[in-house]
Amino acid sequence: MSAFRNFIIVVMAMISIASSSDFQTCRNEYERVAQLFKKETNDQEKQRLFVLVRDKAKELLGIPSDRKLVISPHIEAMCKLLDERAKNFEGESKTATGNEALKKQRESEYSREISNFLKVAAKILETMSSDITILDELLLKSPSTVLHFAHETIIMLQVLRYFLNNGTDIEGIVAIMRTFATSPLNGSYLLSVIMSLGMANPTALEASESTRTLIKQPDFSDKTLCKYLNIH
Amino acid sequence: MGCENWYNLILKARDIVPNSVLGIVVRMKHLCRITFFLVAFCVTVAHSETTEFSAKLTEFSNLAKGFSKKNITPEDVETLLAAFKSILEAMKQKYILDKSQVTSFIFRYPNQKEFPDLSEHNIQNKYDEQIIKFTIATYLVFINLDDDILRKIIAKSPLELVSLLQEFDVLLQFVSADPKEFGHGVFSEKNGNQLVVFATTEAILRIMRVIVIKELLAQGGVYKLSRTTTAVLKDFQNKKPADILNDVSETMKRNTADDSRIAIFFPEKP
Repeated sequence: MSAFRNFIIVVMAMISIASSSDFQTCRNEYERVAQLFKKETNDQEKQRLFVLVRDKAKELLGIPSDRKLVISPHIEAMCKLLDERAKNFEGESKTATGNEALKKQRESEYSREISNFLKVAAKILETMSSDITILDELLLKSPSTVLHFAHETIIMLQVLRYFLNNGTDIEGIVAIMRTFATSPLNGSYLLSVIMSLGMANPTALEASESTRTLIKQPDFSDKTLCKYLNIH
Repeated sequence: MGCENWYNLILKARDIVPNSVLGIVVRMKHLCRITFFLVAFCVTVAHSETTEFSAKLTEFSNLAKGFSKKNITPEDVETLLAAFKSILEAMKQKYILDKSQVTSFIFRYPNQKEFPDLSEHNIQNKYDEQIIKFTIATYLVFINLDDDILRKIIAKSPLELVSLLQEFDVLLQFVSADPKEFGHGVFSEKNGNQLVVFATTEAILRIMRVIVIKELLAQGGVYKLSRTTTAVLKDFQNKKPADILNDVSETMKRNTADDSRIAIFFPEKP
């Protein structure tokens, strides 16, 4: 009887662990609603489902409904430290020799890559939050890009939370980003189309209009545009 | 209610309910319990089979990541090679030996022509083409990869083997495609200890596309081929696969985040 009870407890614990994964639940729900929307042929019902898909996408990306998201100032402060780290390593690489110089040069490049990633993710998310029609267009063009981008916004927000809690611990931020970038089985994280394009044109993102163009114009079905996040 | 109370209740019930009825109730209870355990056991076994490969792959990936962070020694190369071969052997056992009772397989066309021959494939669009070519390249890598080439690849980039294992898993799943899942599996015939698989366009597109989407495109809807498979795919019409593999193993760089790798994906229409 006790073995049976233990078995039930283990099963219940497994179920609760599996269902407590908020992101996974949210992701599954988004995929389910997106599928329903895709299959629906009745115009009225399709419209209703689209509102639902948009709500789920906002939930997945962490876009609040009642206010505009403002995260750029915090991200800028964090990126300033990352850029300083990059400069320091670059300086050190010039005085070092052999493998040590190469290692420092790489650290400098990784710092810049992290800074670029965080700025672009924040800028795209903020722009989406200020003009929800951008998200609408993305949902119509490529629902899977929203899912893919959600992974990137989550890590950006996690890093931001760490920064707000731990201040100048820049090595902690690099460690979080390194784990994220190298956690896929093959050791490299493949960026979404939207992030790949943004990271390739960071200066274009400075003006909000350019961000809108960047999000709206590309052919999202062409996933050859996806680039790897170059942090190891 | 505690066990004792439950037991007292049964004793009381015995006074008012005929023994035959009580016997049936008790037997039903046993039957339900046995059925429950059997179902739970079957679910656990089925689940462990599906996650077995991913668990081994994760373990291998962690090992490879560890090696990729340091200067790799000849002993490290041998360790990783042994681990790679052990996983590959287990995959072969599961997909080919257990299901078809053969030790190896080759691809052919029903007219007995040797595989691959692009003129045998009537390819309709670029998305079909990527699946056909992926199958061709993975197959060519699988049958041409030897220990020496693997050693060179490991020494240059241990993580390359993780991508290769993922691709071989997909190829072997195609070889042993289950008719229950795909309407009918790949047509094949046994030739002694060898399985001859008829890799027709129809079979590749019907079966391989499903497996590729399920196994490789689950994350983000895009998969970039390993550098080894990319190299074979780019050049298999002009050069011998063994030569391409040799060149790749010589020129491979340590960094795996190589954007020149060929991507597999499908367009979406919401």
